[in-house]
Amino acid sequence: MPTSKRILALALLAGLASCDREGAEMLPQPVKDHPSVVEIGALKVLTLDDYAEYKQSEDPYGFCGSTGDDGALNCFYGQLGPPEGSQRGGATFTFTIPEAADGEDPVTEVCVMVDPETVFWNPFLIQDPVQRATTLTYPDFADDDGDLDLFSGMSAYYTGSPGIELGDFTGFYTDSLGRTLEIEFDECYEAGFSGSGLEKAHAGRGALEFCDMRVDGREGIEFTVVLDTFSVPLDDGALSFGAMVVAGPCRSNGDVGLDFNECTIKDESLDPAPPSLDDKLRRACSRTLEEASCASASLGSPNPAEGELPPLQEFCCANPEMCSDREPEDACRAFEVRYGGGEAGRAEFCAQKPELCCENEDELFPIED
Amino acid sequence: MRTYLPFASLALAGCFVEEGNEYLDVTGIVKIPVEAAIIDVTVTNDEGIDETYQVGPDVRALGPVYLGLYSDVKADEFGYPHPVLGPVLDVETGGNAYPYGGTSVGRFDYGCYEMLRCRIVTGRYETFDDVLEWFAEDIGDPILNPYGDEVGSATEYRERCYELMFLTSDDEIPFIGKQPYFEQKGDYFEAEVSVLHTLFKEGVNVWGWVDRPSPRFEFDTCELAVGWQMFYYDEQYITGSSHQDLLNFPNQYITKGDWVVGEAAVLDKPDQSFEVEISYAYE
Repeated sequence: MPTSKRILALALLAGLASCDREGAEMLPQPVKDHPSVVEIGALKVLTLDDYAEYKQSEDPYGFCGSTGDDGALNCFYGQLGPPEGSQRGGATFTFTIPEAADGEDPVTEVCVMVDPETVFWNPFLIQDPVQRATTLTYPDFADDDGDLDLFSGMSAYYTGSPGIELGDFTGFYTDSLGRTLEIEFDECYEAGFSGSGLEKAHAGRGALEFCDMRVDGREGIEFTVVLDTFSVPLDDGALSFGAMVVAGPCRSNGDVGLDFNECTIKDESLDPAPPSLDDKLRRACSRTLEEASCASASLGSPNPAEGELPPLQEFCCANPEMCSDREPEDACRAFEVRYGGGEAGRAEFCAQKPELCCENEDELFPIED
Repeated sequence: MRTYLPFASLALAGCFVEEGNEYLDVTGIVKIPVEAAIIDVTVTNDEGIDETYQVGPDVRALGPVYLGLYSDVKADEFGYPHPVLGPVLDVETGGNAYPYGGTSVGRFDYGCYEMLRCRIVTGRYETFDDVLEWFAEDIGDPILNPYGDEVGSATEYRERCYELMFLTSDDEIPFIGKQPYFEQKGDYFEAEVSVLHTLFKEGVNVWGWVDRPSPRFEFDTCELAVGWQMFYYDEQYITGSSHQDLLNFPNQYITKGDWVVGEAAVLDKPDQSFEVEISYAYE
């Protein structure tokens, strides 16, 4: 056989060998047997006072696990496994619009929220070295982030089988001439990016997703919420999330802390392999990561203030195991100038900013047993 | 030769294949009583007192005529004939009439001046003088240029439009230079109309209405906040356009003073020409 043909044959064999890959690394592999479809049950429509209590609570899991007289949970933390094959996965829960007590205004709008784990951000790609020093250039570790899409409508229109199969809110109308039209009964209005005009947008991975629903005149009516699994974290195959319903429109509730960031629903990132699936154990350092993200968001981006480093950038430099391992070479240069390099730098950072240091998490953000 | 014949037969057979296309063009005539083209106009005189008088009959008094094809029309829901609505999904907007298709006879157009936003309808004016005269003499609200001075001549008006929109001939201006769509025939203004590419089903109803102006010559079916954005030196505003869901939610836009089709035309075949009369005054 001529040499050229031998080379060609070898190349073909090599080509065939390259087909021998499963691509399994692109699919989440569950570390525990979390179900892919979950029925949560009924959630309470929290008042703003309830939400303020939640914000101050040192035990968010305990707060959410409490039930009222009607058996409805205050809110919910849970985990989902990846859907099998082409089936849809996700969670469903219901809420009922409460009757107004004497002298109280009826609930006319509710804000439905879900926060999938953990925190996602895009680093700035700015090139100017001076600006890079005070800009968030450290990338996120995306494999620990999941995404849930939010839908909601009256339970009467829901087509799914709770806990078994996910459905939607599609109905049909047939006119007098026999034309059949598909009608969308999803009432979960989620505004898109400013100026986009979109009314039914969805947030991206890791980000809090929330929607407004008008419920005036619907006291006693039950609504179903669908949390549709869009992506499951690749690192552990378990999608943690927190969900709640608060009375009032989403956007005007900022005064009580509904400011729509990673701290609105806190501690949603759960241990993917708890002793039992009912256990709610916070994933290590995830709360501190959320706090760093919220601190960065409140300071503004890309440059929080003259000479200041973005809290998230500092957090990543001090706790690189919580962020991407593909950070730019100069990502922590300013951090090292300020705090020093290596373990000494981390210790100095923890001394100066204990609230952003993983080692202090359990002390600063305790969760009662 | 014998070889080609079967192929030719096959090709011809292909011409007889029923495509099953349900989207077709429908044509007909819309008639408006001249009475509907008489409007009340209110002007405020120099002493600040409102005076109301009648103008018309004149096609320039008519807003756009909206026509849609619907599954059914009923007379007892809104106080005037109206298409049957689908389920009510939103209490404020009510049900959707789910039109099969539709069109309008005339549409809102930007009349080159800010004060003419939502007040100029195509197919109603032949010349610039027509427009100037209508607003100055009939409506009692002369067209003012951006400096607050009355537009004095057709030449000034034309130059303004040409400069503003980079035009070079009257043919490029949709609201003048063409025959009005309506022709007066006896007691009616009539216009030919085509509803292009509409879903057709046997028994479909052609129904519509004409938007008549308020006494200040403003129209309910136009929205100042939509349309294209005017940026010309210190002139910055949106030029206005029709609401996008007029045929879906007619009852949201029909107000007292408008006239609607009293009896919808029912079509059994798509090539059947229709004639609808906008005969019902909603008062």
